[in-house]
Amino acid sequence: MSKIILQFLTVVALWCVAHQLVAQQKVTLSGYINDAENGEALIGATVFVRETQSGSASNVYGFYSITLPPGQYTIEYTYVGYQPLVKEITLNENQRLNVEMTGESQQLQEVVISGERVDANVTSTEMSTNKLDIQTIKKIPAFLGEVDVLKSIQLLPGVSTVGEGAAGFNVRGGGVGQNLILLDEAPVYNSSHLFGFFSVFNPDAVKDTKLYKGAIPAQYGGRIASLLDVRTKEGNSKRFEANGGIGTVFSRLALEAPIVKDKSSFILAGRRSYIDILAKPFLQDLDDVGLSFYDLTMKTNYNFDKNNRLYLSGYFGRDVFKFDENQGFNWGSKTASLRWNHVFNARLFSNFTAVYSKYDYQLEFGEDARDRFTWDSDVTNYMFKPEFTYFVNNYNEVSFGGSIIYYTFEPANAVGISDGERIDISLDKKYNLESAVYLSNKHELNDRLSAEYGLRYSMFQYLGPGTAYEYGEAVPGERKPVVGAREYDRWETIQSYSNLEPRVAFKYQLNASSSIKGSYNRMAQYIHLVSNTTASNPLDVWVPSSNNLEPQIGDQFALGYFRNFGEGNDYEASAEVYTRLTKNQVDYIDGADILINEYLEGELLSGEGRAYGLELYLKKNVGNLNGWISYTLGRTELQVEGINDGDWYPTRYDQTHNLKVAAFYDLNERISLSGNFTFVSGTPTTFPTSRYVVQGILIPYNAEGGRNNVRLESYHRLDLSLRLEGKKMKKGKERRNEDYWVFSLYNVYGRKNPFSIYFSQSDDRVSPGEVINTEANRVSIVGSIIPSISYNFRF
Amino acid sequence: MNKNILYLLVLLAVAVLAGCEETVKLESEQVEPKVVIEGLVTNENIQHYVKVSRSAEFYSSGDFTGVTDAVITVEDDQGNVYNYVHNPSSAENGEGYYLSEDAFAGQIGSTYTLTVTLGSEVYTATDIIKPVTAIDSLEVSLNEEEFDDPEDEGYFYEILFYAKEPQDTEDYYLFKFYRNDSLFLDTETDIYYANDDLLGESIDGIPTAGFYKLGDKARVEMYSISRQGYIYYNDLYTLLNSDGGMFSPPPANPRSNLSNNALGYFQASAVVSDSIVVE
Repeated sequence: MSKIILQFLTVVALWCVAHQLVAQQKVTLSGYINDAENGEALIGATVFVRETQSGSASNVYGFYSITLPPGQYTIEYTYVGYQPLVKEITLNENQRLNVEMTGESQQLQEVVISGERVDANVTSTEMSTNKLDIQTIKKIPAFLGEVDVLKSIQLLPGVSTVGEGAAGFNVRGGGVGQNLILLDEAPVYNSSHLFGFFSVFNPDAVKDTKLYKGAIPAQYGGRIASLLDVRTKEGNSKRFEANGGIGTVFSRLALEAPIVKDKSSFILAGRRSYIDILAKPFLQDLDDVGLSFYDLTMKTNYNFDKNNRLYLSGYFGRDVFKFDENQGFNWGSKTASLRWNHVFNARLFSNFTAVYSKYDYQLEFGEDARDRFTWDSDVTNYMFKPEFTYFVNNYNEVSFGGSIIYYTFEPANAVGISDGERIDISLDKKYNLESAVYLSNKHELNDRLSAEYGLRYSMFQYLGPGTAYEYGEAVPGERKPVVGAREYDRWETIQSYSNLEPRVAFKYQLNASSSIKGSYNRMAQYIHLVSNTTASNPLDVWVPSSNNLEPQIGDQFALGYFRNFGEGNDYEASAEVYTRLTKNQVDYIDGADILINEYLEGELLSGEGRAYGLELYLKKNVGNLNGWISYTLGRTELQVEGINDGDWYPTRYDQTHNLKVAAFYDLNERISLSGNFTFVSGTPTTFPTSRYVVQGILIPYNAEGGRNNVRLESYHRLDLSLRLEGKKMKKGKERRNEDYWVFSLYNVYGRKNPFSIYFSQSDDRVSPGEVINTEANRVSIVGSIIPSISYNFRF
Repeated sequence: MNKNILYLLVLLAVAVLAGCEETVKLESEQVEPKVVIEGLVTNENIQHYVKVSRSAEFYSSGDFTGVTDAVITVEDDQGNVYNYVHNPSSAENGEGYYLSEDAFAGQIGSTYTLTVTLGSEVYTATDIIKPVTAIDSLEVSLNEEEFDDPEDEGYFYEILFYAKEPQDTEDYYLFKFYRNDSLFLDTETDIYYANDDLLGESIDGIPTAGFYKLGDKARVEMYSISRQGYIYYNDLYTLLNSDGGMFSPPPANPRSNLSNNALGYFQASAVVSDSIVVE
């Protein structure tokens, strides 16, 4: 199969070379776009040629390429928050032009309206995507005053969460496990710290985040709902820089510096929560319990020459939850990615990525060495991904490449020691290979119409060694019996799947300030996240597709209207509708045992899903008061034989109305205020309708067997924060250091937002004839206003 | 056993993160009551019981009146049929309870089928009596932590349990602990059950539930249960101990062995017991 990929790449590469030979009469301007102050590559900066009225944008490594007939040109480089740069050049032969752009200082940003239109909202083919630069993220303090990438994303249309204490996020009615989360190209299997209160992305190290809710480029695949692409900083290549903060929950420190000036730099960013401060208020009886986390994000790069750059990045983080000295559990991710950018020539850019990523958790229980239970589980992958971009001409940009991922799943390495006797209940590892090739083109058909279309071909193999079970028929909703088992040798294929995934997106420009965009994409997902709890949590199980479990397929259609208002695009607005139809969505039978279960596949069910909705978004970019309002009207349902009598039922994260407001106000040079408000209509949950008594035990009963049959109360919350900048001047001189304080209030009016409802009975056991009470109890994870302070510095 | 460990984890996780809880009133739906049946046949030579009642609405405050007009038989795989009669001794709280006309001892390895006829509806369930291992002994031991800081004054003795677990069979157990002849539970929703996945051959001094004071009499009953019985108790335990926290599964109805959508469980067990006085 790797042979197929190789052949494919050779063919495309040859075509590129051939194409180049006939296109000799044109010349190419190419180079990297960087920040003048710290040398960071700028992602998505616009390059515009005044004479031809055409343009291009820098890619994720800051590289751009524009092909033109020889001549005199005025080139404009623009990027949000940076001073526009204009270069006059005479282009007679292929030319390399690396440029550095200067960021507008804080004060300038308020008054200077960029002379250039930064109107990507309307003009780009991209739709259903949201880009949040770290400056915006830093204005939105989340829980306990800490800035957080995932919490910020949840303020965007189409993105939601089940509530406080839920790991991950839901996009357009998709499950937590249907999001592909990449940290410098490395897949992240659990994006949360402290049960979802914080994310694993350290804001000091993050440069850029982009969320694709639809119209996902052919380059990416493997999850059906969304792609969250998080890119970290390269590190300051001009001078030493330190960023840090001391907050209520944790402290952070990030160091960056050049290793060889303008050639090589590094960033090292760490966070560590204080001993268990979060847990303390809730712990009256449990003295030894501790909950903490730490993480380390690092990256270094080296520019060998103008055509070769190397990036090495890594992440290591862990959450530790201790019950006492020898009992507890911990979980975390490790990722490493090595990337090599190679510029073959001015028009052929390539990147080769090698990735290692692992998510694991460990549990330990027992009084002493003679009575212990230990269990660990992990998912590990190795990935290699060659990618090429060929800048054909001003109207076509072709991307092609492939990827190959080797997975090992260790569902349970579990050992019990009972009275000194060792009992191993470990389950077999599972081995899988997922590979893909893709080809896509960004095509500007005319002044008004542009399109991006591509095709991805993905393959998945379930490999030996291992035992593949065959399950018999059962009444839908009941555990399927094992009717056969077959042993497979190493590298033997137990089951394989393949899918063609077409991706199409178009933009039609109505006028300078409005456009219509549409997209269709098919996504295949070969690994599944199985969760049978109220909300996603660190023990959720990843299972690969197999002879019993087919890959999930999602087809998404989206149509949108994009409009900018005001001079200089002060306001951006968009309205999008989407529908996603899915096949082979994984659910489980009532009472399924998903942990350490050899026959798990016999307890899983698959069915169809449908999600549809309307997203409205209005954003004000400039002025002392800026921010956005987002509203989503949505529905997401599943139909699985054996659940809910085979009728459609809403998913746990079905939210009819979802309104978010984020506002930022600059009071004066030193004080800025921010606020965000969230309203989400009640999410569904399962609750009994009746009760009965057996053996004197009061038992609740769900008469219809309905899944998610009641709705919780609606969720709403207001957070406010105030940022106070340190004095810029000290004794008449400008201070070299910058610092600021953030004071914040989370859940300002102290609402007890519902997380779940559960049933309880009165304390007395019953004897026949006695009356007993049944109660419904609402659980709130955060039930009061939470104030916090943090001090942040940069020098 | 691993199940119990997981639930310990669940409880602790929630203890840490559950910010607050409040009782709320849900809108209750009108639902048809369902027939509820429980029954137990053991290898003891006694009159065995079956109880028949109906489910009620979630918020109903009425009592659970028994069903008195059911026709009940239990048949074993040898063709012996045992008839049951409703509350033969007219006990005060005996409404809905049926006892076998004659005492009989269930046979280990035999299958028992319960048939309950209620008007035109027939409900059946089948279970097998699996062998149960012997309790080697019980021992009294002083728990030092509890001695230092007893939750109840004087209660700091624990009862240790000794047995041999057969390693060549797949076994499931249900335990009942009695303190001075009344059923003892650490918490109201506890059910003590286990599979043998994590049990070695010798069970050497596993503490039973709760603490005892001097002079208390402790009794341990161990029941063999079938795999379906284990699933039922496991489902029930999960349901009763769901606390709405992030590790709790949504409530699911326990999987029963009764036909015709009846609720409850019919259990056939071999039982052994032992007792000890704390001195």
